[in-house]
Amino acid sequence: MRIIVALKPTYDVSQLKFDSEGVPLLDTCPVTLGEADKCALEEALKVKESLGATVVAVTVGQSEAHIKGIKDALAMGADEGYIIKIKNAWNISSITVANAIARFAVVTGPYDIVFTGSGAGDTHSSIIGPMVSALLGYRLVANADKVEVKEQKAKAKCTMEDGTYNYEVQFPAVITVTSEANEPRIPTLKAILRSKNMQVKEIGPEQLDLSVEEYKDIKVIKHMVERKRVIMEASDQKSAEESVIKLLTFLKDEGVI
Amino acid sequence: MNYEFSEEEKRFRESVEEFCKRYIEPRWVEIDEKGHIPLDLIKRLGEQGLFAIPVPEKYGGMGGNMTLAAIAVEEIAYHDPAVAVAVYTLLQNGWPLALSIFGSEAAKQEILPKVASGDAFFGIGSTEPQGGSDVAGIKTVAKRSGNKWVINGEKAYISGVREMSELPEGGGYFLVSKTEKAEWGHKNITDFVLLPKWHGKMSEKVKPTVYDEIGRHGISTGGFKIEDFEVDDEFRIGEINKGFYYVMEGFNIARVLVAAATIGSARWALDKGTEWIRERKLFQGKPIASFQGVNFRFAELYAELEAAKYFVYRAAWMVDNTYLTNSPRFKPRDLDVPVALAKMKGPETATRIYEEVLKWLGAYGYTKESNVYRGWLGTFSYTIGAEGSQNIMRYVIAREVIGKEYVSHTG
Amino acid sequence: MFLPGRELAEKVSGLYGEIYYSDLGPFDPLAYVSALYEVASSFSADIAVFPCTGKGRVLAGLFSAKNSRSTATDVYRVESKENSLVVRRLVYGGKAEANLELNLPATLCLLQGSYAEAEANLTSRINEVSKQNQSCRVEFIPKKVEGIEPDKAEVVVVGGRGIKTKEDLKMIMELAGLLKGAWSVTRPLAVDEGWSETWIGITGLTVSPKLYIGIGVSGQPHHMMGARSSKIVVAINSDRNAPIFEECDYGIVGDLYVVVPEMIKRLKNVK
Repeated sequence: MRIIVALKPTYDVSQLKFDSEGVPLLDTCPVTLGEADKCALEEALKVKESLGATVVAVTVGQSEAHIKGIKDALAMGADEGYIIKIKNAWNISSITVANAIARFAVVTGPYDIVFTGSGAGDTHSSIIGPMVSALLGYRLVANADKVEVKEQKAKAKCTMEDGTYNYEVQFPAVITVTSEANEPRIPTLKAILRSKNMQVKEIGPEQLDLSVEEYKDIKVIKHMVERKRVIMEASDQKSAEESVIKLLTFLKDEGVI
Repeated sequence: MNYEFSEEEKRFRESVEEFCKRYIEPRWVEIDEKGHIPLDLIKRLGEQGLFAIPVPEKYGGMGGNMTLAAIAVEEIAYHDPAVAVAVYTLLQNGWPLALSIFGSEAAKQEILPKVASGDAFFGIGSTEPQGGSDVAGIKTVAKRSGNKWVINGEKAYISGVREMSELPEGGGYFLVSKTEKAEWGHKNITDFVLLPKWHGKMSEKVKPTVYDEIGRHGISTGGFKIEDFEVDDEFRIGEINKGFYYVMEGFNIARVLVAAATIGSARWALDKGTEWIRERKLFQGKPIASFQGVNFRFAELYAELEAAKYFVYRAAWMVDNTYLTNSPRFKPRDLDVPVALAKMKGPETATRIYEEVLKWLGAYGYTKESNVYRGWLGTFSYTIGAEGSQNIMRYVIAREVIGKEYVSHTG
Repeated sequence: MFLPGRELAEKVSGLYGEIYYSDLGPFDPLAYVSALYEVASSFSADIAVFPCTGKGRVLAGLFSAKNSRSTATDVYRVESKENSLVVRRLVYGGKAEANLELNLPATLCLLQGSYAEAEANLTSRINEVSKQNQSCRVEFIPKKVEGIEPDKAEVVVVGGRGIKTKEDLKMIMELAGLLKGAWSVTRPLAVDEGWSETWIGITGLTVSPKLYIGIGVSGQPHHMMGARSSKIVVAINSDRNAPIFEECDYGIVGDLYVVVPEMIKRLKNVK
């Protein structure tokens, strides 16, 4: 079996700060592979262990973070790792990213499964997996919380707004995996030492016949929600009672209770 | 000199950090409070490959080295400042390495894979009720009887006594014993692998007791009486009467990791302290970090911690270049001073850092809620001694640098 | 307008001129989109709009890729120009907003609560689209609805990491009941602790009630993505520096185990 895992290093938004003008301080924000991406890789590695498969990790971008992401994937157990050399990877359109992954799959394929995370931690559009499925003509299972892979097909449990969907899909398929799907393995020393001599391979957009579309003039600033921010202190029983009385009065005045 | 860790070393440190954040950080306070490292955590540490790091793969080890072991122990201590888990881990790295250097093929094959997997414990059994630093003065005796040895004696202040009896396989010690007669001296000591519990069965000839300590509660300290315990000659470690020298080399190995644990815990304390002095505001909104009395002291402690860190990794590098390389650059005796420096500086720097951080925290630091006192008590145990008392470290440095003819144990 | 069933199509009658539907059965994304393609191929749509839900995003991705449409999700404001759209979308877990220009044809996923409900009185024509081929086997298990559903409630009370045990959730439920609203939790309480099947956040439910009360909720970006469009946000947390205090209208810094019982007591007295 051959499996691709598409990974995206993302900003850890819980640590993202802004300057006084509301400009995000991206340079000092830590960048890592997201939880869902690691779960996607873990699913691929589980298949490698149970059924035997070649796992190829790929990312769209050429920054330090992208290279490290692929190296981490190799240390976790991926057989091969590639970066698709595109500058300003965080500023390109979703369709470019999806096309890059799809063309890569065609050029280096064929593949039985494309695993991706269900959504990136920073831009959370969650559309790349579905786009890749449409571009490749592969079947699609999206937002899988649980995946079971057999020789020719996969079963997956997905949670949506209205309930649970249990899918069974034949290969080739794109499966997007949520961060609930498993607990990604932490690379052991032996795995790290084994991956020491593995190279991160590079592939350029020309080799993929890919035209890169960058967003022009994206302006990103802090999202200020107008809120009243009336904060009360309740450090003891007395002040707790007083704050609760005030709060309930405010809410009545607002007309929400 | 290369002052940077290699990419693999950095990646390994990250993987240990990830492991600690997931499995140790959420539980370290409970481990210290309840006085118990859960067996499932020990198994996980084994499964993650954090035991027997420097032991060759053919004995079930990770085929790594002491630098990697020190990285693992340091990071674990950062996430378990009370150091119980870090100490458990360092023992499962240092003494298995010593066994893999000095032990018989049979003993290594029998014991090491089970230690690596987290099913068995292996530690050091040297200290006795009447003395620890005075190894030449031990009284436990091993008498030869055909192809066995019969051992009688008592050990005290030994780590892991309870863990050994709780783990499914069991475990034991690198035991230091007198050959035939208990006379003071360096040339009549033989070492053995003593397994009070093995294959799940506890021997009746070894009677352990566990002490109630003031800190580092997660890992047990205790003692045991040995009554006519029979050990196969193939579990003798090395040559008869050379045991003193083997255990001294073993102590050198373990001491590096002890120092690594103390600097990991101290780094946690200093990080906590840094956060606190930035946030704590007094005298009309001034952060206490802006007071020179505080920030000058911070700078001094930061410098000491950095220095202690370099001692640790330099000593680890030297151990690697003595035992774990095809072309050794150093002899075992060359390790005495570098290791003593690390083991002297590490715990003492940690103690000084904890004292100062507790002062910055003020009355809050004195409360159990702050948890900082747990690291203070944990690292302080290594200022008292363990794998080598602080005064013995001074003795070693003085003896080696000034000269043996000027410096004696007792003078 | 396209919907996966006749009943749903009739529900929106009056709001659209042309309403299309197909009897699609449980959600098979490829089948759904293939029906959509059939409709879309009969006229060229400059703009395709989907809701920003789990299903919506999947369909938006599938639909867009076919014709390489420019796509933006988590959009809450749209301005049309000659041949393009200028959209504002939330990024970085809702901490930031991005202004970008999309060339037509474009696909949008709109954030819940970013627009008011439509009202219209048009003459609608309901058209059936033929059944599509299944791409996979689907088994659908509807979620158990106990009490009011959070995404349909006017008041939502949410428990976060500050809640120490499952038993303590009863406080949350009681408060919700007194306010005639729904209760829910943040993701860690559902996924890590298993105290609830659903949760509020970017990977879970999005709610836009009149009143949101976060109890022991720190206000992490991924949770707030699911709660930000609430009209009034109230936060109760013992940590003065919790991010939720930046995003609330009213907040109490204190021990929830003291404040919440007090709230419950006073609300009961009023009754």
